[in-house]
Amino acid sequence: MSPLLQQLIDALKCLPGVGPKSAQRMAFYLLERDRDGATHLARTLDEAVAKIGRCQSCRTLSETDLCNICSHTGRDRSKLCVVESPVDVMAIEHIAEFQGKYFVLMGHLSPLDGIGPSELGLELLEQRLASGEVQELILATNPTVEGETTAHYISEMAADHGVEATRIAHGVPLGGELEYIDAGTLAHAFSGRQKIGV
Amino acid sequence: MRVETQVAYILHKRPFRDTSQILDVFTREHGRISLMSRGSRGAKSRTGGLLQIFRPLLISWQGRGDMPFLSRVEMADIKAPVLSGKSQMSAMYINELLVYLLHKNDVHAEIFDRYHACLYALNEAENIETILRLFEKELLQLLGFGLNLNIDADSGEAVREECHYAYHFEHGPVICEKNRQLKNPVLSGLSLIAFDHNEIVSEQHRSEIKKLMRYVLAGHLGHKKLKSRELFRKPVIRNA
Repeated sequence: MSPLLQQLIDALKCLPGVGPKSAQRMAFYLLERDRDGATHLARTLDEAVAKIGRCQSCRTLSETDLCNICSHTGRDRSKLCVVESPVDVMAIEHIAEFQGKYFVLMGHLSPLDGIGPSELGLELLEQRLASGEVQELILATNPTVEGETTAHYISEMAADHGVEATRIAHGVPLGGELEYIDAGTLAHAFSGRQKIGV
Repeated sequence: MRVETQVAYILHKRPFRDTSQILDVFTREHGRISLMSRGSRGAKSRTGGLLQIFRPLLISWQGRGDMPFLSRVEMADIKAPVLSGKSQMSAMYINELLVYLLHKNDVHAEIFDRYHACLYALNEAENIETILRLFEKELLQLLGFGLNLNIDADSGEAVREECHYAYHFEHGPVICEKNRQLKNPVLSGLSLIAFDHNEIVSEQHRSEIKKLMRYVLAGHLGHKKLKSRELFRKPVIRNA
C-alpha cells in the first residue's frame, strides 16, 4: 500500500468509533468515489481547526469572540444555564424551551483527573455572577457524583453573590417503566415528587 | 480467573474508547484493583448508572493479567450513603487519598471497613473535619505508617500536656519552645495526647492537628498534590 494512503487511514482512525476497517473503507471511498467531497472535507476541517476557538463569554466552541447565543440581543441575560459540554448546549437548544444564556464548563470537577475549579474556568463564571446581571443560575450538569459536586460548588459560589441557583430535575424518563429503573434513579424521583392537580 | 460477587466501592473511573471505562475499584477481599468495564458508557447500557463512586456494590469479574473484565454488577443490599455538598467533597478527598496511598492488589480489609464506615459517618456528620482527621490517622496506621503521638522522639520521655512539640516526619514529636518558627508543625502536648485517644476537643486543637496531618500526608504522598483540597471554598466575606 502506498505510504500516503496508509497515512490517511491512520489519520482517520482518530475519529471516535472508527477502527482500522472503517478507516480503510472511508479512505477508499473518498479517493475512489468522491474526490470533491474529500477536498471539501479537508478544507473545512483545516479551516475549522484553525478558526474555531472558545467564546469569551460562555467558553463554548465558537469562531467569533462571542458565540451566536452570547451575542444574541433577544435572549434573557438574567438566566444563565451551566452545562458540562457544548453538546449539552445543543441538546437544550433543541427543546427550544430555554431563552437565557449558557456557560459551558468543558468538563466537571474531578480531583483524581486533575480537574479543579480553575480548570473549569470558574473564575470567569464568578465574574459573571459578580456583575449582577444574572438572577437565576440553572445548574444542568450531569446527574453523576462528579456532576452533583460541580453543581454544589457552583451553587455555593452563587450564594456568595446572592444569585438564586436551581438544579434541573432528574428521575424517571418519559415512556420509562418503573420496573426497569435502577434504584438510585427511582429513589431520586421519589424524593423529588411534585404535587399534582389543583 | 473468575471472581464472584465481591463487596466493593468504585474509587475512580476513566473513560476508555467509545463506550467503555476503566474502573479503579476497592474491594474488601482483593484490595484495590483495576477493572475494564466494556460498553458501560453507552446510551443503551443498563449497568452504567450503577457504576458510581460512593455506592456499595457487589461486583464480579473475570480474566487474567493486569486488567480483568467486569462481568456483573449489582447494588449491595444496603442503602447507599447519602452524600451531598461538603460531605461529598470530603468523600472525594478520601478517594484521592486511597488511590494515592493504597498499592494495587494489596488486601486491606480493615481499611475497607473503615472506608465504608467513614462514608456513612460523613452522611450524617456535623463535624466532618474530625471524621477526616481520624480516618487519615487510622489509614496511616493500617498501612504501617502509624504516628507516634505520645513519646518525645529525641528523649524517649512521655509527651507532657503543658509542653510544645515540633513534629518530625517518620520520627515523631520533639519538645520545643512554644513560638519557635519552624517548617515543621508545632503542637501542644495536650493536642497530641488527645489525638492519640482519638479526640479533637477545641478549635485550636483542630487546626494544630490539621497542620500535622497535612505535613505527614505530604511526606507520604511525595510530589503528588491532592487536588480535591481545591474543592473546599474559602468563605467569602460579602460586601453588604
